Amino acid sequence: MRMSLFQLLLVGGFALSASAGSGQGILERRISLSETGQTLKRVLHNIEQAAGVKFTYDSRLVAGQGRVDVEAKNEDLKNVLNGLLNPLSIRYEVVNDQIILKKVEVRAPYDPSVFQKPLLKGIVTDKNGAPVAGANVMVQGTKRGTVTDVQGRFEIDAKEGDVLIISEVGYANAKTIVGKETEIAVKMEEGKSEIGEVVVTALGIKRSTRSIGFSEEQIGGGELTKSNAPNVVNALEGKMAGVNITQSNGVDGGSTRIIIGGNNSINGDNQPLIVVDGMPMDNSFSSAADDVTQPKDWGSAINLMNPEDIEDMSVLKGPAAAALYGGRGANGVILITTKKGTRRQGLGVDYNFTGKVVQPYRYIKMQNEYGAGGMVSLNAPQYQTDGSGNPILTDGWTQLFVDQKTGTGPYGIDTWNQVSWPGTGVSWGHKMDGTMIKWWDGVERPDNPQPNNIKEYYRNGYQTTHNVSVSGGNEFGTLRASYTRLDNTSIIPNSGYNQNTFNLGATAKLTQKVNVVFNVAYITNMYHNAPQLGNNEAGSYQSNLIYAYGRDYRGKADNGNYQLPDGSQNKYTVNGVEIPWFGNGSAQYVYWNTYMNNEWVTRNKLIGTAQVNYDATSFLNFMFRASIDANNNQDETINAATDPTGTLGGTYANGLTRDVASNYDWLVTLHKDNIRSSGLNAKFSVGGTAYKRSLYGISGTTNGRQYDYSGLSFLGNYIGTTQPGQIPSEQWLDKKLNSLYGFLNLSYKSYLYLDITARNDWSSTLPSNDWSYFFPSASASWIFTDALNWHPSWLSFGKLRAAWAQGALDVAPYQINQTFTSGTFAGAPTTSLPQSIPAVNYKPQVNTTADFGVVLGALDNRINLDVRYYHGKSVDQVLPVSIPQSSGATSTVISTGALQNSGIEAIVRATPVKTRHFTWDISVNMSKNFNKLLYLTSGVDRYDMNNIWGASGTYISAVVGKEFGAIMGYDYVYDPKSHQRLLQSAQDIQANYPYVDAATAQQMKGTLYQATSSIVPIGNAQPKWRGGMTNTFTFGGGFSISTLIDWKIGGQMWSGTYASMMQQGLAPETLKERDGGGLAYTTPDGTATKWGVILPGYYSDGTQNTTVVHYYYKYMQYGVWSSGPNNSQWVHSTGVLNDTWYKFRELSVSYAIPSRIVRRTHAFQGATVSLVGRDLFYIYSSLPDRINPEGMNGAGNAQGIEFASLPGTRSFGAQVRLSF
Amino acid sequence: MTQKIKISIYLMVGFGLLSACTKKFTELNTTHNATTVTSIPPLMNSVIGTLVLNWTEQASMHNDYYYECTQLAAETSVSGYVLENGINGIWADYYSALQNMRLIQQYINAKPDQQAESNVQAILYILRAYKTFRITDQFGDIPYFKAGYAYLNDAADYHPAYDAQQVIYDSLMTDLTWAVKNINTNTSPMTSAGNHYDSLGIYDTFFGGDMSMWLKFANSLRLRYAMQMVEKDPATATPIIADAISGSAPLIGAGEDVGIWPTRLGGLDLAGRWWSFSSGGTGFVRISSTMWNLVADGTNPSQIFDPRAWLFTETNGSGKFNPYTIGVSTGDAVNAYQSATDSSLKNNCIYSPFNWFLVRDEYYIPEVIMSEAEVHFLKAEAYARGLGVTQSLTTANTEYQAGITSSVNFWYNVADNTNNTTAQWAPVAPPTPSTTQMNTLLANPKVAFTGSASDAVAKIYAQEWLSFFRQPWLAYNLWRRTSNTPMDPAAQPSAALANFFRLTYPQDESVNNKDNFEAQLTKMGGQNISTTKVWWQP
Repeated sequence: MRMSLFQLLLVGGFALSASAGSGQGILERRISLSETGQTLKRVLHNIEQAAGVKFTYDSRLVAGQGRVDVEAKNEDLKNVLNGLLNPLSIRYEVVNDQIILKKVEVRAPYDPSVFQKPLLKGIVTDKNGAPVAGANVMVQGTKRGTVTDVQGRFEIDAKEGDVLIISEVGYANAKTIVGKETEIAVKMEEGKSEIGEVVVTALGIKRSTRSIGFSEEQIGGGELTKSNAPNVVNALEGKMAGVNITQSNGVDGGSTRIIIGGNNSINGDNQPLIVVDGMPMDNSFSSAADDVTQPKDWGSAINLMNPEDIEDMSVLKGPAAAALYGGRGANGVILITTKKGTRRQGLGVDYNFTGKVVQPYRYIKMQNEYGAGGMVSLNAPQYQTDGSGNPILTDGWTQLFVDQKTGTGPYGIDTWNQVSWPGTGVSWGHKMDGTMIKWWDGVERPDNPQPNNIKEYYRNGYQTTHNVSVSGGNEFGTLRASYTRLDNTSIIPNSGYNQNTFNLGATAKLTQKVNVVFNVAYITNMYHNAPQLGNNEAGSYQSNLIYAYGRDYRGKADNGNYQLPDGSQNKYTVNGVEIPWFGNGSAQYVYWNTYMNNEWVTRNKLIGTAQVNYDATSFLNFMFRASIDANNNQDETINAATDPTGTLGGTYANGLTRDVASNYDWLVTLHKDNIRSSGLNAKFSVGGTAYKRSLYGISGTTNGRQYDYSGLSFLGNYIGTTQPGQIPSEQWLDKKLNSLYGFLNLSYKSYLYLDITARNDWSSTLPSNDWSYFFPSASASWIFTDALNWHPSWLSFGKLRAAWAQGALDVAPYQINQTFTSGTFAGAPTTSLPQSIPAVNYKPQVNTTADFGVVLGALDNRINLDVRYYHGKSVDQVLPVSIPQSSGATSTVISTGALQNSGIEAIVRATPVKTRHFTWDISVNMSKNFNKLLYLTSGVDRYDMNNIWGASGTYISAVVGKEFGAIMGYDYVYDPKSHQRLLQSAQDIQANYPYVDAATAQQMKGTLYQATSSIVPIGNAQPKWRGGMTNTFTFGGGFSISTLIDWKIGGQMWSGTYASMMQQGLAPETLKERDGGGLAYTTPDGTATKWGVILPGYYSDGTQNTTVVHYYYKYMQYGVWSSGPNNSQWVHSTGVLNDTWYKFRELSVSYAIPSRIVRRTHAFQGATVSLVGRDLFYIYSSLPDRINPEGMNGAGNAQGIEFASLPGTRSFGAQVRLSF
Repeated sequence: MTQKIKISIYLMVGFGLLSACTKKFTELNTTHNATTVTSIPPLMNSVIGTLVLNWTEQASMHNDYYYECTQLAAETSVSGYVLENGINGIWADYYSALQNMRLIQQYINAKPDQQAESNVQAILYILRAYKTFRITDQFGDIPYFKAGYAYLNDAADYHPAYDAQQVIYDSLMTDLTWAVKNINTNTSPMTSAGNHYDSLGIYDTFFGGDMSMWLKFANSLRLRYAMQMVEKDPATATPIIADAISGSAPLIGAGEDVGIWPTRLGGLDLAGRWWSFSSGGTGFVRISSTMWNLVADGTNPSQIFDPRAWLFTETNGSGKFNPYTIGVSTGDAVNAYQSATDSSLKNNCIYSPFNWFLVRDEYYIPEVIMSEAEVHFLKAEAYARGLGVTQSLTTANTEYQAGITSSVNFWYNVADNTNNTTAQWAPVAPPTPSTTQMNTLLANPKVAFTGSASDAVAKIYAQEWLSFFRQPWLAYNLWRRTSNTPMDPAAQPSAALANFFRLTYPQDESVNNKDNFEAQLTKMGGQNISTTKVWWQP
């Protein structure tokens, strides 16, 4: 173990600590005090001394209160404070050892009479039953008021018929009419967050936002459940500044990518650490989800978290906020706190039902005029004909790729050598005008438009959630137990998942000094057939629509009958004629594959934490916490045999994974307030963490084997010798990460705060020289309005904050090991060095981020502004890079490279209207991030993160000097002078097509552009701005409406859907010229048409192109795959589109049935009904043809490639919440 | 207990929890499914495994270029294999083996008694020399002295500089000479310090531990490569030729032809051979008129005088011998080797294809690395030209005839023993030529060792060239060095083939080794082209 000097200092400093009061139940402390005619400030100071507590307040609140008297003899602090502060309309809240003073919003002059009468008792809880401490309770129309204690209880002088107004920061005001009862319960709905809020920070420590010098946002559990989002992270979408949530193709159950601020790592994980009640939870994606060509996405661990069981979620932005998590916090942290139960009235049983329907509605736009046919001749499109000259549907080759008469393409050159390969869905053919043609199955049918073939595969998805929970408590503790059942069916046939969640949370006070917090969740999730996305014709209907199926494809009528009566696969061949819509060979089987190929991923997860807090002395606390995240997953595949005997063409595969992580934390804290009466308070903590993860997986498959027994699925079911796939493959991951940390919180007179943290990690995945690494951080918060005592009328609050932190990321296990490849030659063993060389001198990637913020509250905090600017650099990026083969290997791993990441975020919250019966809250957030790759290593200026179709497709790369996430591909060649595209001259064409004679080359002039000889940046997917706006309208009587609009401005995508639809004549835009909207053009057979186009651009000799050519040459160049004579390149930039959108994300209407009505049932304590519409519509999208603006492929770092995205979906849901 | 004592105890407990901070870290991070330790013998065996010809090298270099350039064979159409793939294949094969050889050297250097490593060191030198000569002969200057060290993880090793071919030649010659002087062929040799010599044991799959064969191979390689450089650096080359021929070390003798003999290597499958000729729509390789002129006086079977003609070629689809004249003959872009099982299916090819068994067999016919015949021809040249030995046309003739006889015997021996599931040649192969047949061959005016010394040298080259029928890369070396191998006067090879003197460096170099690549281009006149001559080429 190596210790840094800083740690030694920390330990040394610890021994110099002082004594002070602390902790639990400070309101019960008894004090004696006698003050007459003192300023409130002085009295508070004396109370601080007497009770060992610390007050935090806005100085204006205290300054204007005149002189006060206090007389207390061995009295509870609570009583003293109530007596002192209630008359001043000041309420208080206890956070740890601090008492935060706040202004009561409904003012009432002091009326001593209220303390002399018998009192009505009550309890204020939030909608989840947790007590609301410090809430202001007033009798409407009177001066009588009080505040609730830590358990949410209050006593007030009120009689039947009085109206109580309850208000608290972070909640909408509640109103209740007093009945005959002597005890009442009031539930508060969460509302906008305000200055003065208390948030959960790193390690689960609650702090007042005014004291923190970094950026953090928090969301309550109620918000999560209300949004009806696919998972808890999606519920944050559009609601937090700089928190970018993307979900590949928007499928429920799929992986959600979360990026806070920007990307810090080129090759590593850029997602925040997720901590559930202190347990860091692995949320990594499978490689299949990161794939951008044909992702298949089974989701990640965050999908399993049940929103019903979540108390709140805090988002710690950037390394400064997450400094205490060290390397694992470099990308920020999402802290999830689960519910632990509260003391409440009634049976304590809640039942919630949520149902939603997910509706595919935003189908791609396609033309419905012309059917199958390709660029095979420049004359009018013709049907293929049979021996008798009668029109028939194409055989999948003739008239699609070659002309029936010439056997080749225009100018005697094969189509695929002039433009890239289209698919069998190419639809430049004959008009679908009802001509009777012989179909592939031999039946004569009219060739009619098939507008519904774009949607008939899809269906509505449904999801229901039942949640029942029991919650209660007494002075010794609280307990909550909950069960949730979720059933989901996808918009894709034969796909869906279900989930059971058992959750138990409890707190217990064992002694005056010891309390225990405990929670455990057991989750089982079974996912059947995750949707196949992207370019996969065997499983993706959308892929076939844009590539394999011609526009006259009749949908299910053509290939929906997937199984023959003998149970075998329908091969769609009649009398030797095959269905033409086979794409590259398997597009016709999409229905068979949908129903007969089944895969089940079953996940069992146990995640839990036990925590003990021990107040050892009056100034010293201990915390010890043990957590576990244990997972057992199974992945089983049964693909039915395709032959009548049931023994051929099937696949069986099965795999098991055990993945267990544990985390042990300890923390020692001591503090002293008002050191030597200087107004300086100090808190010092030291702690440590031991994290361990161990994963083992084993799997095998019978893929490609003939079964011995039909219909049986086991690995031994095969005939012949064992194949490599049947020998189980194994997977390992072992890792330990130990940490030691310390932090010091200093505050001065409630307006200046300074935090210093230090952490050292030891990671088992790094070489022994480098496995110890150290992270410091510092942050400060200055309430300048209080410090300067500057309170202009327009400014009620002002704070500046600054933070600086370093974080670091270690590497995956085993990466550092030099291993050898083993084999045999001539009967003797061989070993050899692999072609990928690990770097021995790995260093962890280090991020250094500076973070500045200003928080302003204006007009009595009716308008709040929170602005953040951050600037960071991540150096020593761990990347595999190509090295020349002559070095012996082809790639190695470097620890160099620097990525700069800066951004600005702003949040505005305002309450434009606030009356007794109506409140309008508005919250707007905007963020902009700029990532730039500064350097990699010498001789390397680009790192390719991912690509579609390998060398024939588009790449997403990090390019030195460019913004992270460049879209790379072949581009047009531009004339350096005119900046216009350059076309191929006749000479260029002859050079590229050696068999073309000069005359033909001259005819072809004007048909083809020049392409770059290598891939170049053609776009960038990074958005310019992201943001969201929430409007909440709260009406009297428990009725509220909330809307969320979010947007993404700028950033591009490479849309394979668009490129494909343009090339194949599927997009509506391709109708223009063939419907006669082009230039005059005479076909080779002499027909005069209006089909002509001029490809805009110049020739290398400086002349402008004026040649009118067939419209094919305008559209067919959009195709992007395969190779051709033009140096094997096609232009990819045709598919780059600006992707800006504004979306009506969420509309929720909620009605809390008034308690007086609910109570009359004598069964319920409360009832709420709400309706939620999600992803309702795009207010604006810059993409053509209704291409899915959020349909990027893959959840990994490579973002910006779209191909065959699913139709856009929206969901409508209803929730009923009943309390018994 | 005072609070300070309490605190101290708590702290001690706390730090106690962390005292095991890095315990068992290394053990935990050990790779489960690959070894992290190795030793010389299996590394050496993996290098031996790379002596097998690369598939794409055969397809895109041998068939599309080397046969055509040397006119040893012809092609009716370009195969469609991309030369770049072949280049990448041979480049990757060499440099991935080189890094293993670097590691072996590192392991040898770490041994306490260097003398005990003499035989292992010699084997390493021989393998490294053979593989390096092969690649530098094809590319010219290459990264060598600093190449193959990426595994050391020093960034300085990631981008190796190029070395001049002459310097590489000199270094490899030194290594081979060291091997010849230091190989100990005794049974169980001991060092002066009293240690046993290390050996590769069963890992010497090439010669089965026979150090005398390694010695002969090393010495024969010295002869071959000294002859390769003799036109440009006779001062260095001739003493080596002299020592190789007349020194104490033996050369490859009768029945000792060095090569990849599949049957001796545990039943190795040389599937690349069939693939390179017949896969991917190729099968365009035919007998050239140049080669035919050296084995027959006409296309009538009775005009065949060299018995190897029956083994190297066969009749076309119409049952006739019909050689292809490069640049003159046309048509026949069909796969003449289309059937993997039926030798009679020739796809109606017009021109005589290679003998089906030469193409088809995967399990018997060797890939020859160095034949006894070649040694005889090299000696014949040395005596005919007086290189390192006293000029003697008589001795040259003896060696010349021994070379021809050795080649004929070699191929008949192969044909008569090729009898396995993929190719049952033995039952149909013609019998070993009689003495009469051999005399007819040697007496044919095209073969007979008559005329001036330069005529004799040309005949030596011609017969050596013919003996390289299945080693076109050696024929390519001979063609480039001598410009005096047979050429059909009727043939009209394209300028590209007539001036194809080297392989261009792979694209990987221009992208990933940019600085060194560009420095090398400057030395070569700015272009990475195949018309640039390699150093030893006159």
